[in-house]
Amino acid sequence: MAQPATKTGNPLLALVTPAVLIVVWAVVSSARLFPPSLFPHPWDVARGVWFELKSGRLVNDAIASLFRVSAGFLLAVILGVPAGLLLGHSARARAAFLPLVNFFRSLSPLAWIPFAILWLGIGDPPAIFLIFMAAFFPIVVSTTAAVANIPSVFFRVARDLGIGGPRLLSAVTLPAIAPQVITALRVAAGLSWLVVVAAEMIAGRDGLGFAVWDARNGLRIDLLAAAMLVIGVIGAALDRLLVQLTRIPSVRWGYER
Amino acid sequence: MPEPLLRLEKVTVAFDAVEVLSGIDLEVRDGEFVALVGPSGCGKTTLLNVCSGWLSPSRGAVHRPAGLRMVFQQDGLFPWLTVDENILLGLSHVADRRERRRRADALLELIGLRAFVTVYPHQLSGGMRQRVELARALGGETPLLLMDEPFSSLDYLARLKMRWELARILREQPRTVVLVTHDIEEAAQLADRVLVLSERPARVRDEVVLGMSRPRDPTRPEVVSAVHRILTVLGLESDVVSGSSQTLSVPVGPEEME
Repeated sequence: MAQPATKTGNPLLALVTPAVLIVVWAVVSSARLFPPSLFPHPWDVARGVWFELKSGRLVNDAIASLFRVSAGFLLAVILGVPAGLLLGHSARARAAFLPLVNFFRSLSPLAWIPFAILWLGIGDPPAIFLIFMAAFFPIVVSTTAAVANIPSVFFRVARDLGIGGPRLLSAVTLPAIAPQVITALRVAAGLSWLVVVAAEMIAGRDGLGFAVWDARNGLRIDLLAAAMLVIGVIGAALDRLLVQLTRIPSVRWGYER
Repeated sequence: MPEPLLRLEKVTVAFDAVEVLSGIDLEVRDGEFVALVGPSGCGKTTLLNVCSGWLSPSRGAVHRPAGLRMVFQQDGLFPWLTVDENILLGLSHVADRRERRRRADALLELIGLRAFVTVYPHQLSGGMRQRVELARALGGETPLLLMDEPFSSLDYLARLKMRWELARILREQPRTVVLVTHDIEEAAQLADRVLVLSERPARVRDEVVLGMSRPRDPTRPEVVSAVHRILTVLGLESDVVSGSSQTLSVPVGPEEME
């Protein structure tokens, strides 16, 4: 029997490298190679994080950003996966819609910011719209490719076993594309998190992107770096959360070939 | 004489202007094991696809039993299901849950993989995967199994072992079998009849009947003679015969392969 892939490497390494980076940052900052107004000390940033946490603003901003990402991302999944299933199954649908999908996915989601503000004002709706535009097309394209690449032998077996109709979708198509779709969701979630920050900078009144922009306007470089730190930590945490999906036993085959 | 289980009448298959099968007549009777051999790309798999109903013939007629099952060359197991779940899926026509479980256990016993019920297909060796696929196919109540080069992805020793396994399993759960193989020795060891197909467009060029019990010692003169005859029909004997006699002297039973 083939052995399942096992983890190698020490998990402590994941803590050591950021710690080394912070030490280097502190040394460079303490050496005053750059003015403190351009290159804050990690201690000032930590104080900024603490200050923002105490005021409750950081938590509110993080919740606002996470809400927008969740809403835009979930909307993209709810519409993108079925759209990909349709395109993957139907050559006619691919011929009709793939050129459009390719056109829209080539547009940076940020290019939609002016329209998003004009159509939806500022606050949650434009940010959710932009996140949707960022996540929807990668999900559609990956799901389409995953469906189109399902080995035909699975459908033949399904036919032999009397699996058809809606059961074919739940018993064959969805499990067969699950590993690829999970990878697409990770990519789309990363893009969503990138876009929410940009969207809040321009079309927001709160959120972590707005916090970055507000700190920049107030020349609070420590708070700016603090917001960036929190954005990075939450982004990595979101990815870790989605990685858990790859641990589901029935999708491991997609990652252990 | 009873009606054949599977009957092909003057079956022709053409893709656009390219004819792949030309006027094939085939009758397979209940309990028979028929092997189809022929040059690479001659249309053996196309013929099996016509037998299964996956492909409709351009001309001719096919009479097949309902609910036949196929064992594939490439992995036909669902990789997202465990060994047990794959086998249970093959029994989904059995309404009673306990009966389904009982039959699944019997099939797991038959293929000797009871210890691997919770394992996923990608964690098994190629030979084990083929045994599970065979068990899933046997789960159906169909009398007819279609096998498309089921052992071709295995290494030589695993292939030899699987021949014996298949013969043993068919002794315990008799089925009518149509086997497509490029392995002439495999066909001669397992089949009651070997149909030799020509180059494309495929026609039946010869039929070799081996009326012996399975599994057969590959060094038996009848088996060796059948292999030589098939090679001769395929125009390969002068190239291969010296090599084949060497091949045929290797293990005759699984115990000799341990």
